[in-house]
Amino acid sequence: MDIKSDSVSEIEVLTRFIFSTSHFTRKDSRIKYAAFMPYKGKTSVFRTSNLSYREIWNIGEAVGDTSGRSLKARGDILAENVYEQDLKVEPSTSWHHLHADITGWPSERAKTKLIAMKLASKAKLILKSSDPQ
Amino acid sequence: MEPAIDFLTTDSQTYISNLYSTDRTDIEGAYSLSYLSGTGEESYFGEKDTGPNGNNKESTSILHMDKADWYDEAVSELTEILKECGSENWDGHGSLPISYGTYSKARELLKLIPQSLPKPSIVPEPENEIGFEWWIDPKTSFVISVKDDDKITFAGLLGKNREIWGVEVFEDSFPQLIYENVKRLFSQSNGY
Repeated sequence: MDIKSDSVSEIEVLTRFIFSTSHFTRKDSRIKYAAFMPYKGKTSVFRTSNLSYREIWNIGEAVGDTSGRSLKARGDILAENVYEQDLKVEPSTSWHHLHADITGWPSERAKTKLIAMKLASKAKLILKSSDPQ
Repeated sequence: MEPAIDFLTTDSQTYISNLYSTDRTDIEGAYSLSYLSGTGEESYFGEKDTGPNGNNKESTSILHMDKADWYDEAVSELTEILKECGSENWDGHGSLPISYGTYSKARELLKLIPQSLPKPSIVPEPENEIGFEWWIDPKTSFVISVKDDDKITFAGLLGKNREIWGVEVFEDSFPQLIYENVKRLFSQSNGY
């Protein structure tokens, strides 16, 4: 199986880069739901299975350079946890060959929040400052 | 059972196994969804309850109480969020700016939260909403949020077998349905 295939396997790791300190908490060492909430129906992630920590952070920093934001942390989640919520993971590689979007979000704001809460509950927080690299 | 992961490197296999081993909040069993009229014509909520005490409640009466002791601290945090998130792309993923209208609604809502509830975390959302989050553990949390309209959106994970979500009309007092669910969150966890 090719990690760069058009279909994202349920066992792949998806990384959401976090640029706002309001989207995680050191105290509970967790990601907050809003970090996974979609903008215009999409939540941008990267397929990071098989990458080293350094390679993963490099991608995040490149995203930050593009948007002019400082990278604070990342959230890693299995694609399986996304599929469990009846969401899709669609590769979107025009900017980066490992980029993908979580799509298929419901139109109801409340239901979207509930799903984002579930994704956040499954994700692992890794702080930029504490990663051994 | 974990699927085959032979195509991954050893380090990746270990990492993925660790992700699999984290606590799960899967919800199994029957599904019930109710859309009920509430205090306003656009109020509704849905529930998923597989426990023995599944229920359907009207979203009806409203509480009106003094503002909480933590109100001033929360307003300071809210103001910081307006500063930090007041321009577009504050989250690095294209987000809309948090508008002054949304900030004002959030500030109004803060004032209505009964003082018997603990201070929530204040969380900016990417499409110009501000959320208030009460978090106990990965399976137990509640979020209410507002934007510059007349609605309060809410969603709650209320333990392994219960979840709730919906919308209340933003009026001049705190919705009882939300109050009862947040209160129950804490009474379940530590006798609050």
